[in-house]
Amino acid sequence: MMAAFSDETVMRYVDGELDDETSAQVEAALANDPELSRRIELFAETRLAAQEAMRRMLDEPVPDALKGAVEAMVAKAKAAPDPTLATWRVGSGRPHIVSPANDWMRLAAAACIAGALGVGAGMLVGGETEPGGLRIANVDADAVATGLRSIPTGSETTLAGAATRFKAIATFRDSRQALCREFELDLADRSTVTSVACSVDGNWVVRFAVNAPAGDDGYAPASSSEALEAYLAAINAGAPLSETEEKQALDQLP
Amino acid sequence: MVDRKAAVADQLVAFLPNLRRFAISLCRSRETADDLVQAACERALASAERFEPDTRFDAWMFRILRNLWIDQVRRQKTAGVQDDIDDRHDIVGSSGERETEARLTLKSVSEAIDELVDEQREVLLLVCVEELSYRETADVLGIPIGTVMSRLARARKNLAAATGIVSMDGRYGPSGSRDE
Repeated sequence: MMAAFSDETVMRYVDGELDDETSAQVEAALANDPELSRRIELFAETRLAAQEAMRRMLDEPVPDALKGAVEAMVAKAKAAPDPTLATWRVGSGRPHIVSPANDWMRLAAAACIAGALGVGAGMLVGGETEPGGLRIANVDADAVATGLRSIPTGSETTLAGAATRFKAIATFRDSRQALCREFELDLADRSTVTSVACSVDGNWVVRFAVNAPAGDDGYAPASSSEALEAYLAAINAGAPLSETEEKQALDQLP
Repeated sequence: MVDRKAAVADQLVAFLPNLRRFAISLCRSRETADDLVQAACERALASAERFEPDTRFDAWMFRILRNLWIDQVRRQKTAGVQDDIDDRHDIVGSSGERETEARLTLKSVSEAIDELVDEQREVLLLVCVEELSYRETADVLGIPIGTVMSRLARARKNLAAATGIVSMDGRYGPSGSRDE
């Protein structure tokens, strides 16, 4: 029997896009149908020939200008992570990107995002030279220092003398091995300050702080976590310390 | 949680040669193609949250790039009627003249692909070269799967006729099989 297979059926057979039943019919017809065999060859050979002919275009070097432009936008995209992401937390396995060449770009992005939030006096990106030390909003610096030294990650406390909740978020080391802690302060006005402070010669210094009004759910808006993410990437923040590591590190502080 | 932007960003640079190949075959100008690729990368990073991590990255990128190209072409065509490609005549006829020529070199295959109408060339590239499924190709191009098949069949018959890939003299015996 000569089944009249359409070109499309034959082609689908060759491309593996034909159902099993019809494929079997094609194969059964093949034995007695040289014409069908020739048509199969046509579709198989054209596929291979097209692949072969186009392969060389992949070997063409991508022009430097294009490659450079795309690499730059990729670096920029990585500096400002997806706002839908959960904020970096202990154990969340935040990818640790170390690429010093791009640091300036990340720092610029961090400054840019934080700047857009209209952060006031609390914004101290790279503020190691800031003499204020640990002053955040009007919160008592000594109380914050005590919190930083004693509150394990994941715990919170109300700071003495103020209607302020201190929440320890994570502990890590920066590229110079200084011990740093990310923490949040819920202020009396219902805004939340997300900060990073690092211990330098026995003193806690605020490196980063961004104030955001709390939403109804009590969480800071995504934009502030973007700024934080960008900042952490910029200082090459190490992976978050484990509970044990954190305890050890805090105990060893001068 | 999967960081979609990072997932897109991580694959982009390595995918540039394929993206560029598709762009060149669309706009037939390397210069225009490079601009198009750059714009597509920008668009991809900006809309990375729409990329479904368990779908094909290449198909997603091809669709972005092609849509940008279509937009650009439409904008350039401020006047005039766009002809319906399915009404166009195939460039390569079936005169038989070429069919009697000896099998040509690979360069001729390139030339023949180049001579295909755009709509046939893009399905040929996506299915045969980039190895997308018909379904994925239909999604990239925003056309029904039946249209993918009809264009693809015509593209391959034209290619075969132009290059003499299969001669009409029946020199292929009844031995063909998919598993050759």
